[in-house]
Amino acid sequence: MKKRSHLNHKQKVKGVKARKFYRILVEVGPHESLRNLHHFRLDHCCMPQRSIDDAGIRRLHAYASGATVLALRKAGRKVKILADVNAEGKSVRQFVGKGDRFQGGQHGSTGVGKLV
Amino acid sequence: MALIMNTTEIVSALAYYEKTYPRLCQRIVLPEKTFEKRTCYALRIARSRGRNKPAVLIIAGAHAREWGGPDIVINFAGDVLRANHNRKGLQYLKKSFSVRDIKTIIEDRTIFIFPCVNPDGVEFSHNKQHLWRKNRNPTYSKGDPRRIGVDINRNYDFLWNFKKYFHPAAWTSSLASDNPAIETYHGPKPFSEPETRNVRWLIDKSRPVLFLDLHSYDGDVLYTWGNDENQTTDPCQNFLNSAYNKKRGRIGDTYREYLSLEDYETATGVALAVSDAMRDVRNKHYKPLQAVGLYPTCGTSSDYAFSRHLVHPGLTKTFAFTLEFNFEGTAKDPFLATANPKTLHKTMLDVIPGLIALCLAVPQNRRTRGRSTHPSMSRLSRACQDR
Repeated sequence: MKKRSHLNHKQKVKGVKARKFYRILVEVGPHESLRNLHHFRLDHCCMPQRSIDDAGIRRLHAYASGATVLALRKAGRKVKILADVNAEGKSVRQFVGKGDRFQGGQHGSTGVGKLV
Repeated sequence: MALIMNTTEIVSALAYYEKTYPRLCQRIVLPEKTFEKRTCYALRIARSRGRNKPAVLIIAGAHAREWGGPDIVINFAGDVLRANHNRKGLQYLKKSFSVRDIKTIIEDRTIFIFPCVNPDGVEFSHNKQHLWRKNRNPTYSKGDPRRIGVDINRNYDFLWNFKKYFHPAAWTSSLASDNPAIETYHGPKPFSEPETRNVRWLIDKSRPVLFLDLHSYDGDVLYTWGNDENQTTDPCQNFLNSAYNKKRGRIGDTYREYLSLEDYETATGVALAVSDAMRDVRNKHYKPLQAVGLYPTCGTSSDYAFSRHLVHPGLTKTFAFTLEFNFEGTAKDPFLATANPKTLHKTMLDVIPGLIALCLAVPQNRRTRGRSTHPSMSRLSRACQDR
């Protein structure tokens, strides 16, 4: 059975480009300190992390530049690329308000709760 | 379904509340402008009467990429003000608050909200690079755009100098960094940034008994402390004691941060009240968790807020929390999950009841000043020398 990709069709990453940013999973030993990855400057603060799988493999969820991905691979780390970060960002920019919907305070957000 | 508010709309939303509810709302202009010259605003919500009412301070938008925080805080204010105006209660799916609950918040509390602590970073995240976390101060970047910015939530004055206070094994990038290229760069000194100075000013002025900093992503209600595991038996082991420098931050070793039993019970009680209210909405379980359970940190807003009364015994004791919202979107970018209007709406339904519960959970018979259960520096030195 074909495995489902984390990437949708538009976001397929064909080759790693050093200057781009990616969201990745890096394999880490089950008892390995993240200090060992310190010099790769991975950005993983507040990101959801998966627990160790049945095979005892831990995967660190992080953002990294393409250059870092290449360096990790060169150092023998298994890296799975989940997404091109810029493509993900562009796709959601449509959800940010444009201009000023509240017209300087003439209108406003009235909340989401139901009055009872 | 709502779109994410941009920084202009966040300011306008506060102006709207002040204009619509002039007897209850007062917009506060914070003293420091950001590096990009943006003025920051907070909102005070209270029925003005002479007596000293307990204050609650809620902040958001410190980490630019954690989309949805400002929207949640603004809609929290909108809900409470609208319900009070209509003399009604509020319902969020299966969780309800009575008319009396709303009245308690308006009549018996002073609520301060600061929905967008880091507007420069939020603007950059919305328009240029969504994964941006820090502010946009380029002073320490030496012209390299990758080195711009300071992590606001590592720039507060709590064990800020991590290389002095923490065990070298704890010096991971999530603790803090002195390298401007890292996402957790803590700045050249505590309170080097206008954003953190604004929060400090607001804490000074509001003297809150409860403080909450809204972040994502993990589905937790984090309580004191974030630097090491808690213990309630040895007052000598605390962040003020230099004998324990370079011993902090390693989980499972002998150093643990002291928290009096009374404070531990209050902190966990409030965290539980907040998480219970959120779980009742649609059975999503926000975990009450000691902050270090996420990972050891230093220079954070919540540890700074709680530590103030220990460093300066005359100050109000502020029980401080960090709420990490969101559960959705594990397969996609976690911080962008709330960009989707449907997910944002669900998240607001989850989290706003937690903020209302926080306002209702002001500790009774609270000791607001002093630190009777915590040794002073001089007492501490003597006690620890005797050992």
